[in-house]
Amino acid sequence: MKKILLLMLIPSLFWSATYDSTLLRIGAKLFPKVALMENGTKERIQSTLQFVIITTPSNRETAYRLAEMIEHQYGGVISHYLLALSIVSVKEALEIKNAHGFILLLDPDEDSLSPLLEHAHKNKILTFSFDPALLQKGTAISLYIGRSVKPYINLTTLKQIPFTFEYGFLKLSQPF
Amino acid sequence: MTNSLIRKFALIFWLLYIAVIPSLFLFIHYSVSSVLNDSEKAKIELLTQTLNPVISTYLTFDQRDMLSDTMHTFFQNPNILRVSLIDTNHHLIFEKHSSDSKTQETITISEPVIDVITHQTQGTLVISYANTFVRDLQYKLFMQLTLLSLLALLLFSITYWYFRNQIFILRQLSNWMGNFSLDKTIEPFRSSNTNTEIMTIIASANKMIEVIDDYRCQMEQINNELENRIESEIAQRREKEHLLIHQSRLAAMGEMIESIAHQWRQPLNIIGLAVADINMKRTLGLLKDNEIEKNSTIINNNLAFMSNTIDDFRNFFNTDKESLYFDPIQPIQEIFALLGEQLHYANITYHLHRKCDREIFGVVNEFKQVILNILNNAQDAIKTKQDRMGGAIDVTLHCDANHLYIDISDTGGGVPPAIFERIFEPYFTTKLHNKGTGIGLYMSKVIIEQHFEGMLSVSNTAKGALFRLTMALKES
Repeated sequence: MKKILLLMLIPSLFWSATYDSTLLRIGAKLFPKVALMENGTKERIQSTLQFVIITTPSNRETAYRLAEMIEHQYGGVISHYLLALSIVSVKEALEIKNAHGFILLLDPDEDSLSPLLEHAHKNKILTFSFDPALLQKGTAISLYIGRSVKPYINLTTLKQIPFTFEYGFLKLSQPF
Repeated sequence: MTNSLIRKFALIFWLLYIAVIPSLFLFIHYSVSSVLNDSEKAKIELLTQTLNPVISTYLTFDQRDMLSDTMHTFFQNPNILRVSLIDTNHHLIFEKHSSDSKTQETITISEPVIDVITHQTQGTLVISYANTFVRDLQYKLFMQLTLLSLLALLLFSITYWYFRNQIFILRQLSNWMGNFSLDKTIEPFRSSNTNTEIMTIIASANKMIEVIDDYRCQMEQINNELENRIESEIAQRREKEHLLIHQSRLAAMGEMIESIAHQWRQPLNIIGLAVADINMKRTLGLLKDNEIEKNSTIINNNLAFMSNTIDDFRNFFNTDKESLYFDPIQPIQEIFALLGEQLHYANITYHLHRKCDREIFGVVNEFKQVILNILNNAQDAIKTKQDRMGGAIDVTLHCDANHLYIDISDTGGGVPPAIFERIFEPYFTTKLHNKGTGIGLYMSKVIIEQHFEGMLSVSNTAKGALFRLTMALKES
């Protein structure tokens, strides 16, 4: 009975805004790589890949953990580029124009989400999230972790900007 | 080594055949195999490099199912027999092999799977492929090459046989031309060959032989005509020479008759005086026997002298042509004996100097004729000069080891330089009123050159002309 209860609980945990370590570690490993798989982003990088973690005060602790994991994974260097990380609020993020990726640690019903995404799309900044609910709002890429890790992509957003990915990535991604 | 063109051609073909065919087999065996193996390896490497980023991405996202699908793509190449993927910890991620992979000889290549983003090695891709297709291809190429070489051999044999027949006709033509002789007419060369080139060569050869035959006939005709003309010319020349000799002898005879007349004038006068003395003494009755005897003796002596003169004349003109060795001084003295009275009458003295006593070989009368001609010319020249003191003729005989020289010089003033070159020409004379025929010196030159193997020349001295007879001396 306990096992059944646990099995029913685990997916609900994944779909919630709660971020556990495994999820964060996978995200820390994959988000910078996915950013480099996008052709436009790769062209725009001059010497440093700028990643910005946008968080609310309630998720700031999680943001620090994620930043640590990214730093631990890549050591500040990825594929000959320097990897720069910063943790900002939504308001601060609206001022950033030269970033290459926004990792959103926000609630789907956050009021400032819409202008943030609009700002990101305007500046051709890839947006990542751990919450598929954010895809509905316009985030470009999210992660689904089941038997295997599967990226979710928002085709509407990818076509609108546009963002172009390698065949292998698109083939394994789940379109939304 | 054969000299036949067609055999050389066959030999060259065989050498080329032997050189090319094994070389081609070796080339296919080694070079083509190597190229095919390299090509196959390159194809597999290209496939690996193409799939490597996809495999890398799937490894990154840990997509086993999709990785498996991608790995199956390798087996679209029928030569790939086994594919495996090993991670960095040497754990087998994927492995698949075809059913006959163990029965065939394989080549294995290993390629690392590199993360396209981080450039870190994610695993190793091991691919084994068979090279039996190279052997199959080699076998096919060998078979095709063998068939082609046999076909080439067949074609060559047919070509060889055909051209051998053509060249055989040319050889027959060559033999036919070789048998051509200028002595006989030859039938035209005939052949049933219809090739334009061969027909052209045969026609040209026939035409050439025909032309040569025509020339041969013309040459024979020209030769016959020339022979006839030469014989005719020789006959005419002989007749002309006879005529000249006859004229020369007639001229000499006329001069001899004049000499005889001179010779006979004195004895006839003496005989006349003796007869008149007898008649006068018989009339006076004083004729005695001793007077008759004395006058008879005078008459007989003079008749004997006249008879001798006639004998000399006959000796001179006898037709004896026998060649013999003789002392030249004797005929010269006989000529002077004949001309003595005439020379005395013209107040011309003569001297004979003998410095050589060798004999010469020839016809005596011809020699006399030469001497007489030259002496008559000398006498005429001295007479023409009309010198009161008269003149002189000197005849000198001298010799060396091989030749006898007879120099006859006179005081007649010599030969004018303008006619030096012409005085030995026939019918050339400077004597007026038909006194000369112009054949004396010409005949003298002919006789000396042809019958005495000598030479007759003339030069001038201070007082007159000097004729030199140079005659070869022969051992008797």
